Amino acid sequence: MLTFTVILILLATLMAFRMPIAFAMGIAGFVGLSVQLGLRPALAVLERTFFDTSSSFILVAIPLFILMAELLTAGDVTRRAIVACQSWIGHVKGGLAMATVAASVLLAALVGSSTASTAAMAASAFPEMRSHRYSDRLSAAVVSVGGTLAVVVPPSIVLVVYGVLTETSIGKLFIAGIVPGLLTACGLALVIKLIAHTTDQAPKGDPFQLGKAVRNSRHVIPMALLMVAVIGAIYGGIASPSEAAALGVMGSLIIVLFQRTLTFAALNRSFSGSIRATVMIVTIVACSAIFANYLAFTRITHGLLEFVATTDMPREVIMGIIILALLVMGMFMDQLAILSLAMPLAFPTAMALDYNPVWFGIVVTKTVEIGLLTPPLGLNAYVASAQTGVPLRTIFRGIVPFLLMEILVLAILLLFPSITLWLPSLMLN
Amino acid sequence: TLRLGDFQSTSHIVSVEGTTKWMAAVEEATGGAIKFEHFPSQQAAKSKAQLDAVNNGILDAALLGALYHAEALPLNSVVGLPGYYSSAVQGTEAVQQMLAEGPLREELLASGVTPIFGFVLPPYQVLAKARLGLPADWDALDVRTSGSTQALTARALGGVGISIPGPEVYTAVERGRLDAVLFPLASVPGYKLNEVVSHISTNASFGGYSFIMVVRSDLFDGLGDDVKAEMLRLGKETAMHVAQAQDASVSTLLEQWKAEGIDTYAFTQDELDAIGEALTAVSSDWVERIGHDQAAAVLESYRSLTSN
Amino acid sequence: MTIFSTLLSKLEDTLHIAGCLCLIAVAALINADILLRLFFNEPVQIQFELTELYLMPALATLSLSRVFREGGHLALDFMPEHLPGMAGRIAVILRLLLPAAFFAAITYMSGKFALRAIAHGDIEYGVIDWPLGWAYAVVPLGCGVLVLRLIHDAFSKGTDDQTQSHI
Ligand code: NA
Ligand code: NA
Repeated sequence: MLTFTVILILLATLMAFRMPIAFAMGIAGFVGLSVQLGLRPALAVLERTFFDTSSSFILVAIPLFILMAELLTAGDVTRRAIVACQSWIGHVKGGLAMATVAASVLLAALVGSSTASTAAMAASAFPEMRSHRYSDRLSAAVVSVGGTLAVVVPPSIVLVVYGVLTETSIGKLFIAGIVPGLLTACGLALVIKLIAHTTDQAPKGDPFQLGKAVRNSRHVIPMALLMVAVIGAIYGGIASPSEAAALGVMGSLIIVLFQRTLTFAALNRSFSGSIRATVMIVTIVACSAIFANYLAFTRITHGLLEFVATTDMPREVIMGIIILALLVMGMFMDQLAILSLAMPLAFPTAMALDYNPVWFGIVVTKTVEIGLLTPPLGLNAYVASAQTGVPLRTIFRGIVPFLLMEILVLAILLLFPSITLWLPSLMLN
Repeated sequence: TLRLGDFQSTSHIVSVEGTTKWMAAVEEATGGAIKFEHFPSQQAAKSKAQLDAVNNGILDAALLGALYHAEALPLNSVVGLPGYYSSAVQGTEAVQQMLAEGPLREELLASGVTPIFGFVLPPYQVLAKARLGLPADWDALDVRTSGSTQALTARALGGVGISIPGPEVYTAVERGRLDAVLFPLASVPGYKLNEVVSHISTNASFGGYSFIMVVRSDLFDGLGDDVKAEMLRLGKETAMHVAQAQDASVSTLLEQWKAEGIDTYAFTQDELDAIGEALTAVSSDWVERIGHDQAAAVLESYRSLTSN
Repeated sequence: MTIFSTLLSKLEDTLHIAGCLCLIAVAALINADILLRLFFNEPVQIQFELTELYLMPALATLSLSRVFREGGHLALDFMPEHLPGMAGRIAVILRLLLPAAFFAAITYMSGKFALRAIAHGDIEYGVIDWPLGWAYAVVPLGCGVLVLRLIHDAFSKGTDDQTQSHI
């Protein structure tokens, strides 16, 4: 326990001195492993961590979806589509930010990974909000928070992994995610409305003109066609969700070539941007895997969850502790690592207390998604920062009101299981 | 205290009836002289890194998925071949015998670890939205396979082997991206494939899968003789127990699926013969591909051990 | 020092272009796979394994150093960038030399791992026999160049600010 505290202090110090977060987690994890297992085994962990982390087909969605968004942005497709939205709802304060949340929901129906979704929105929606004089703080926060919808709205990698780990019906989990996903989106829109009305972070656009709105609407067509094609490919059985990302890239390339809006330099920048974000994400995932490895060898989470599993406190308290533990883990680990570490103990505990497995899955998913927004390891905020150049501090500040809303939504889901279970029970009959 | 790595989660039948049971039994039988710290779900090392982790001292013991280590343990990948064992018990008996002495054991010892016991998953079956029988039914179907041996199996039957990550299989079947899936039935509930297919075969053998519990050799050799003997004896018991438990669980599952309206069907003898005929190519290809001077002998002894 | 700087940047740019080519290859292969499968029932069998074993690790690690040069590895920014005196010295060591040592360890260990696999001729049995050593080799390559970059930056004051600005 003492060494663990020292390692945490080391991690905090390294990060405070502006060491890249990935490096800080890797170094802290490595030092911890050396103390726990000895230097030779700790060094051996370094042999293949980077390879094992990056050698994964599921990861292709990240560079490909970012590339798709970069191409559409470089080719002016996104800007035109957002101008179209702007001419319909721009006269409302915060309208563009709400449109971004709506677009995040649509993108979520196509993407199963938060980071990929955040990166795509950061590349496309952020520049538009900035050019419409929205504050960087609000714009980058909306993009980061909107990204978490990707995992609650099906398809979702996190829900699948939960389903596999706990033998819960993936089909039911997918259906159960829809209502909480929409509820979250509404909550986010509400926060945007409040911010827009109390601050000048989301200024009003031009007054509404029907003729202009109708005329501008044709610019949505290419994006809409692309969405239909990619979603159609997934639901029509032509491509798996990861493969569909590649179709999206080809589709956007065709659109921008057809519109003749893409320069060679912009094409180049798109590839560089995609590689840059991917390298950043994979480095963090690999280094935090080293830290998670250390955490596993300390047996601390194991001990905590075991305590919860054996205590005889009231079931609401135990559930509260589980959620709290997951939130704390979310500060340091990525979602999939949390699930594989926590579910073998947390799931049987929840089942012994007679909670519904589908409901628990949605609550857990929601909880680990909140971890993507909290420092020190808040992957969505990192991706948004890397993609937009807005400093992390600003993004984390901007996220605070949304984080409160996320926690409120989580509390609502905890208190009213029927919100989650209503739709799957309907489909069952 | 031994650090034991495991890529399965503790809720999988292989862990409940196998790994966890064995650890508890050894701790009890040795009166606490041997204790385990269990790292399930790839917490300590990824599936493919478990063997290296034992060698490097990150772990002391591990449950290996033999097929994850085909480059270090090529001969042990014989169990992946289609058309051999027909139940977990039969396959486990064969594997236990081959791990007790012979090239499979030698190969493990040469890579620095000592096998304690081994067991298999029940043979892979085919799950689909239609009843598949004679090779003609498989023509040009997209079949989800994992690894080269299964890809060859699908090809030998006239289908196309498709690699799709485990978590995406559900969606792929549901939406028709895949026509069929080769899968061990015990793992079907985990991936909930029974929700998306309508036909499941019961008596085929589209390949196998073996688990091997290993301990680092220098550590194992340093243990007392009675401790070693207990670990091996309990290993033998556990291997048979987990095999029987899996066979029993598969028949329960089949009944359950039948009640859910899924067509659980047995291939006719004609169909089995035709499939077996088509699949012989996979075994000869394996011998060639491994390029090991003992490959043919290993295959021959595996064949005879699983042919009764 | 300037020659070393130029060479290092050239090296980083070259690896970055290689990473970009891998990304293009991924997009092209998956599309070819989907389309050929759809229209000719003839998938690109090597696509999955090639992507997972070679292209993804390459595109995720080859540009490690260039991304660092461009300030792409995120850091918390609560503390001021430049601290005076002793604290400033410690900050540089912590920020640049400690990671240099860490990535040197990764380079050494993963390099040894790759060399051993190449020497043994380790193979992943897939649609074709994939030599694993060459798949592993991108990690020490990407990390090794990052080590050079970290050492370079630690010993050349000022370049830090210039390179950060052209993001
Ligand atoms: Na989604
Ligand atoms: Na976090």
